Amino acid sequence: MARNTIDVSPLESRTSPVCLEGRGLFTGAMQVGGSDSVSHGANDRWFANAALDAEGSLTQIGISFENGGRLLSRAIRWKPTNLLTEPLAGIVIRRGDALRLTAVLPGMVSGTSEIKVGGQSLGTCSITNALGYRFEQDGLYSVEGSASGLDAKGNPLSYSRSVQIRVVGADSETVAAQVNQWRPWSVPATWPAEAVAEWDNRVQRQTAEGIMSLLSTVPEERYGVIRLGENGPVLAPVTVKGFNLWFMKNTYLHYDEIYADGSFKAETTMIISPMVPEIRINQRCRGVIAYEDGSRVRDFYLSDFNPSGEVRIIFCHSSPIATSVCHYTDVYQGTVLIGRSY
Amino acid sequence: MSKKRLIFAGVLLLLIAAVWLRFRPVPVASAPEQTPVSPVAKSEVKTDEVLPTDDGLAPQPLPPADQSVQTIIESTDYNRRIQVAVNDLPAKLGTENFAAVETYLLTPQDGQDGDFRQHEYALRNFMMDALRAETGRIPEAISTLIDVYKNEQQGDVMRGYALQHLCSVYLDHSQTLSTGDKQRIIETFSAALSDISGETLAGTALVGLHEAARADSATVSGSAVETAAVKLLQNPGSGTLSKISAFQICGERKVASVASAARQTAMDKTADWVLRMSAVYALGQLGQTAGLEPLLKDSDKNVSRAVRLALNAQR
Repeated sequence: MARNTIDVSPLESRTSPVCLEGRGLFTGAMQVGGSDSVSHGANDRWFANAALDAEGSLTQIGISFENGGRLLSRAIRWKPTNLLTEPLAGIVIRRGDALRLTAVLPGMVSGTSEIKVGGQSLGTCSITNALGYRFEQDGLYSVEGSASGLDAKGNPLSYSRSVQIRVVGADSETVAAQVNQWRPWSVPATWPAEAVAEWDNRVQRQTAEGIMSLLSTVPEERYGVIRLGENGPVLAPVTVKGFNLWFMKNTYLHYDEIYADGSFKAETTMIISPMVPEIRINQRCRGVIAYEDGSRVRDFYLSDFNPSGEVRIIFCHSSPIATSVCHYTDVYQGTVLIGRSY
Repeated sequence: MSKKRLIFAGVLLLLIAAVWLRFRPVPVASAPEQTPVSPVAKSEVKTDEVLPTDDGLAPQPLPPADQSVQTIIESTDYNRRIQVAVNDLPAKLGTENFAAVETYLLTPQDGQDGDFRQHEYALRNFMMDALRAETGRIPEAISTLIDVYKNEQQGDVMRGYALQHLCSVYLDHSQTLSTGDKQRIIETFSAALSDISGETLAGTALVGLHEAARADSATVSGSAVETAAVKLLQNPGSGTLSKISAFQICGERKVASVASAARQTAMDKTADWVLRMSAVYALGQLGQTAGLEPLLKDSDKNVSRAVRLALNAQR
């Protein structure tokens, strides 16, 4: 299987930009004509949103892989959306998509069209042309098309009709995953009902009692996408950030200072690798010890770690009695507990 | 001398230096100014030196178990036992291993561990971890831990460990534990709260109760935790370690009524340094750090650091 391909590329697209997809590992070394960026898809794939010619001419889109190591090209036309013939059930598009709107009755050979979005007129045009409109906000839009003209026999034709256009979006999703710890994940409340998540096959998934959990076995990034329906265009990328967290038995624990009465300070280092800014690490001592501020609870954020991902932790111990410095370390992404270690 | 021999000698020297650097003794830091106490014997505070092979504990008759469990239970080499406990214990013990670990834990240390006491504690701690990881046998693990706590021959350290692991069981399974199992754990914590014979038990039980209340407020009320913490602070018989936990938890739970006691403790230069720090922390959590500024120059640098952190957090 070729490692650099394009395999989702329609001849015509209702929307601009059009969502193109293919295989390719090195998205940072890719360029797609009409697109500002190329993103990772699931399973070593890529996707990009490429702008099409506003007048409906064939748009040649060049795709460059690995800084020009492989060049491909596709020709795609932005087809018009005729409001007078669209299904009444309406259309669902992505936030930021634009449509070329027309209003033409079957058999009409001349005349003018008027398009209104939410009651506001976009203007009029010949029935052979279309008006472009970009839907920037999520929501339900009532889009009205009116046509007035003549058929081939010179008979007057006139018709007006509204179509509901639903615009949906999803923000990109980052899922932090401590290596080899199942973490719960739920569909963000902001995602539309039509959203379908597509995950990298190397991210393990299971569902128990209605709760989905993910597991990463490697401290690396894995990618996925959120689609508008099964096999639909990509709404947003998903990144699963696997990371390791080591401390105590995986690093060390030794006496930092020992005082004459047997009280002491013990030191360990916690290491996170790679650094994942989305998480908060909450440590809670189970025994009778204190951190350097006198507390038994401490939160660690990325800013607490040095550039190598290390933070030194001191436990203050009042007595030579060998109560442990045991604590549990919970890792949170937002309010979701994604890992616990002892 | 040939070139080869020179290289060999150089490599040997580097090797010796590396070994020395790795295993050199760690110097003991100078003590902060605090209540003079009798110096402790060097052997009572182990550094991370290389340990010799010991003569081990007398092995108890145990049910059959797999090799890794056998090793951590029976090997005469404590370093090997710890190594296996850290790296090689099976993720799930299985019936026979579970029984072997239970039997080992229920048997108090026989006092023959000598210099290896800390290692024995660590081993038993790993074993308790392993019991808790057996999610299908949580009620049995709870029973074992409660039995360890109840047996005074186990000593304060192991009894404290048992309380800590009961806390972890509660946290990990707060949604699935039966009411009966929850009750058994809470009753154990409650009993340990009045056990001020040992230095740490009451404080550890308070932490356990507090964490259980955080995870499961429907079963353990926060006000009960606060009452228990205040009671520990007010009890003249409470040990220093228990009071440390009590101040910490009163700080976390914002129990304003302890502010006066916390201030008095923080200012008391004869009090234990960690106790003073926990009192400072409580005052910080209560927003009552005013007047602590003189402690920025306290002769105990640990206390002054805690004060600085509390004052900074207030800003």
